Amino acid sequence: MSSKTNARKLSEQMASSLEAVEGRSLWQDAWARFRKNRAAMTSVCVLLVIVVCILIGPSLSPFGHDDIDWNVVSDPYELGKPSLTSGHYFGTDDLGQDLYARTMKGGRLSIMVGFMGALVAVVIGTVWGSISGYVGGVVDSVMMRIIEVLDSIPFMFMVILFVTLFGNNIYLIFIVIGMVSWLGIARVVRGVTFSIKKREFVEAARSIGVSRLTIVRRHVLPNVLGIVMVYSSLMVPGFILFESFLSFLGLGVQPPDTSWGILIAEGAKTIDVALWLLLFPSAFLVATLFCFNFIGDGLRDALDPKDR
Amino acid sequence: MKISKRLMLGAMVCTVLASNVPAKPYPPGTQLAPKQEITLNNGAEVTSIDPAKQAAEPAFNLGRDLFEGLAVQDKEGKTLPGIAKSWSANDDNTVYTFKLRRSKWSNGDPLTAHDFVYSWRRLLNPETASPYAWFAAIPRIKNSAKIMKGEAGPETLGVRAVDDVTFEVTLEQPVPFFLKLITHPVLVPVHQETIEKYGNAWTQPENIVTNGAFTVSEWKVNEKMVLKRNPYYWDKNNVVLERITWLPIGDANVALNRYLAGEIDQALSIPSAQKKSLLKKYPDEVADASASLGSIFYYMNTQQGPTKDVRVRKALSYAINRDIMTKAILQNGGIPMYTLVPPQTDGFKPFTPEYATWSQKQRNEEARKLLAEAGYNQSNPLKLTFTVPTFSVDVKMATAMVGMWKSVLGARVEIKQLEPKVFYALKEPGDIHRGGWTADYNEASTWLDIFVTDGEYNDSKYRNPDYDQLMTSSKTMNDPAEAYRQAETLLIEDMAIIPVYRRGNDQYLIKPYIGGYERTNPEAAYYRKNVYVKAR
Amino acid sequence: MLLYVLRRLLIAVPTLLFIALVSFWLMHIAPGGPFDMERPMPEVVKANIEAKYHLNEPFLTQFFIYVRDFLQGDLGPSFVYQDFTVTQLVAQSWPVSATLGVLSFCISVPLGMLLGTVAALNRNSRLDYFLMSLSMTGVVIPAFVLAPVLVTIFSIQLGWLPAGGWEGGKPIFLILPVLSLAIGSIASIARVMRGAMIETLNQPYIRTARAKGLSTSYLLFHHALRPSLIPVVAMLGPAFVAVVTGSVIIDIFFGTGGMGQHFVSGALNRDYGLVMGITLIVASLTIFFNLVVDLLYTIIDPRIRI
Repeated sequence: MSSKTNARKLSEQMASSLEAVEGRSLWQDAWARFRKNRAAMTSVCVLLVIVVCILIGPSLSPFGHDDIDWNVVSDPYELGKPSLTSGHYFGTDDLGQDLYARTMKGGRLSIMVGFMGALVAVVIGTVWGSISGYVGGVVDSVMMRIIEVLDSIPFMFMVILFVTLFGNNIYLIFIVIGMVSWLGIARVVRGVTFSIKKREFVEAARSIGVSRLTIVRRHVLPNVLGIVMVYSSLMVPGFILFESFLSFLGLGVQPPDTSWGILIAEGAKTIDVALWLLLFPSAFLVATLFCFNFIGDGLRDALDPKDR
Repeated sequence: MKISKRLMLGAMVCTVLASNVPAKPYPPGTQLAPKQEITLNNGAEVTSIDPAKQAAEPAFNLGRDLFEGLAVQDKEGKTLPGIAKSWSANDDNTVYTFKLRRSKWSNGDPLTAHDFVYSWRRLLNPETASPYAWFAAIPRIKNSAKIMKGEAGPETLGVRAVDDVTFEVTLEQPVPFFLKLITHPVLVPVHQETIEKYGNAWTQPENIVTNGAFTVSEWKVNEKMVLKRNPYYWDKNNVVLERITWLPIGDANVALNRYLAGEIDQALSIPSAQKKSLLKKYPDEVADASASLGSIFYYMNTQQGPTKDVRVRKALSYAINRDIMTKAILQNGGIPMYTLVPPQTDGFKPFTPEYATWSQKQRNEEARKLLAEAGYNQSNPLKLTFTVPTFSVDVKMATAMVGMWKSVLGARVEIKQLEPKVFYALKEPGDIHRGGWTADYNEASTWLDIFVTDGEYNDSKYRNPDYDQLMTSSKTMNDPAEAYRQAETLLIEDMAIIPVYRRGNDQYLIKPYIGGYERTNPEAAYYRKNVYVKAR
Repeated sequence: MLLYVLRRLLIAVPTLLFIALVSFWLMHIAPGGPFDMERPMPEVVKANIEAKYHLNEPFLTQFFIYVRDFLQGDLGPSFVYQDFTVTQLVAQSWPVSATLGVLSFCISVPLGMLLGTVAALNRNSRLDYFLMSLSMTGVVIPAFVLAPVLVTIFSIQLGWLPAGGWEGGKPIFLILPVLSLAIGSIASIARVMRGAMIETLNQPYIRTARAKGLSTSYLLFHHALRPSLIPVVAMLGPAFVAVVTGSVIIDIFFGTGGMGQHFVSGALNRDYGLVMGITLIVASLTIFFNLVVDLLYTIIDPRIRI
């Protein structure tokens, strides 16, 4: 109840300024559209469930993610089958480590890595793009040339080199990946900024002497936010997948830490003898990626100004 | 003493000659397939097939088929004459004379002692930049070390062509195992004219000239290399295979799939997960590979950190359950090791440390006791770093070992996995790191020389004057077995390393129609000239 | 137009030089070198080798030597595959990667566009959901899971297709690698195509045309297809380069010997020569494809001027 009245108060306050009215109607409109998208709403729920799972899941298992069950080690593919009685709900891997605990632990890392990469890319891309688009002129063309140069650097190679430079510190790696994958966002943001700059309310703000920085912060960025949200929701699964690729090449996280990517890469080697090692982590990974994709689509449908 | 040695040598030449009757590699009455072609996996792409540029087993493995040196090994690892028919030594065992057979290069040119002289000088010449040049310096061939450092010209090397068929090697001092080294693939002859004509490109299939049973017909890096029979090989009448296709597959699962799909004829390292079920499923394709001279141990820093304390080192070593490591985790036929040198090493008298005879329970108790004495307990747990390369088997072993230390000692050991090149280049690798050794030659000093104070590979930084003294004096002993035994006893009493396992008899899969490929050589030195395809 | 192309090509030169410098520098500060091995070489030997490959020279001298040789068309020696020059290795592996890339594109582009269009025309229907779920599955299954599964089914169980090898590109050896590469890109192209098509179909002029009673197929081919192509074309350039070089998993699983594996193993082995060579080739390819894509835009949509 109180939150409702709070929200009303807030919206009344916001209604007093012009652009806030615009902002409110945009977001409310989008939210209404998004809510109607069943696939996207289901995805949000599933994703929440997964997040809750990986946050509280580990405490529900008698085993830690790096504990070795010495009773299982002698014949892990027989004794380590998934079972409720042994406490290994998802079974164990060939070292007798509990797959349930590892899937939960790995999920934290995979999702975190996806978000961190996307966050870095979004922040750099948005700032770069909006400055380039808003300032225009020489600054714009220099900034865009820089993007062109960076675009032709082989991305994979850079990442492998960075991994060897920084060691297997996965967070650092993903900050690096984020730093080299902001180019697309920067381009899009620049385009949007460019068109917003020409809109009446920006002209008005400028005519009454509002500083450039304030205009970018208060008028341009909120309008860019929609497209950025769509973009980043689609980037997160990309990063999660990329982490699994790096793990396959042995460039992923340090043991005993783990990720869904490592678990799947390991599981893929034992499809014929221990299918569970592939199935459980894959199920979580696939579900998460599906959710992000549906949410991204839903956001796009909801925020796409042309569709309005 | 000298006499007895000469007698021994004489006896050796005789036995060698006795078994030197060239013979067909297959038993009489064998039905041969009309198509004598096989496909094998070499496990990795080779860096070079130039004998002077090879540095690791996948390359040596091909080298043994392409080039033949003074001597070769038989299936049990005994030295057999190769290009040299026979050899003899002078009275103080410093000058060896090899009588060469008349043989030809794969382009029809005659092969002479001068080719050996050229090749050995080239190996040591700094301009060649051979990564394995030091191998010729191990037996102390005259001036070899100086040439390698650039302090003397390559022409000063103690090798000489007395005439076309007599090759003479002069050593700086008698080295008891010299004759064991001459089968090594870097000490083969090379064809001077070809190298001088094509430079770096002389190993290209269209240029290369070899003197072994095979020569190269095609090489696509990371795809395959095709060898065909050398029509000028001296023993060509007894080579059956027409064509060998070598694949460079590194991933064991991929190699296994290719085997199961019938595209490779031999699956050597079967992933442990599939091993049990496959051996059961294809009983007539299972073959045994006997133990090669290799072992895995772990270095501990004996000069710094918690592992400076011998009690900590002992506790760490005792707490490893080697049976679980070999039988459950590796399943590669490995045999638990409590010492350094594999006991089957030629002329070696192994020593059994006390802890090897205890049960694991006793070891664990003793380990806990030692660690408590060293001042570690629950409120002050032992904390260490453990560095391994990112190879999956190393990571797997490290994970298991850390688990053992955690459950037995309550120690907190942090694994640092490093990309292989970073790992190899590491100068300060932390408290514990992965070691291991494969014998260069079948003699205990290849192992024990590691741990002398200035040893190049003494990553434990083990310093023990008594040990150094034993190893130095062993060099000139007629029978160094006792000195070796004492040295190893010192090393293990100080627990400078954590021995874990040595290679043991392993099982692998081979198509039943392949004959003559018994994997019994202790140095895993194989020659495909003995292999043939039976009619199906 | 010609002027534009010339200008872009002119910019490419300093771009390539910059990329070369950065990669060269990054590679040399990375720990471990090409001659650090499992069993370290004695210092003397290592010094000999480093002298031979100029590794003992100051960084900028090394870079200068590299650029000088490069300008003469010499990509230098491979540090790890010592019997080959980088040019030879590229000449061996480039046809493999290009064939795989082109073939997988020939499959994935038309198929992806078809699926995307069908889904867009039946927006929010069961068919749409089915197709999109299918394509999403294609996107999320990593190639290193897909490839072994395909091999297990088609090579080991059924014995229809070879499990690996290249053999000069015989068709039967191409099927599984191309399939493994194509499935992922079919899926992503379908998704982009669907989005673009929906947007186009919502345009007023399409609505008008529809109101006039034009048939769906006529509408599609005469009005809707062209503008929907733009986002697809935009992703093709980078995607093609990614297929050519990113085929490392295909090379590992099928032993095809393509550039992808050279690229990754070159970086891991610190094969400075090979990595520099492939980096520059890939960078040139990227620059080239970006240009082609920009030119394609003007053909698809004459309103776009460059």
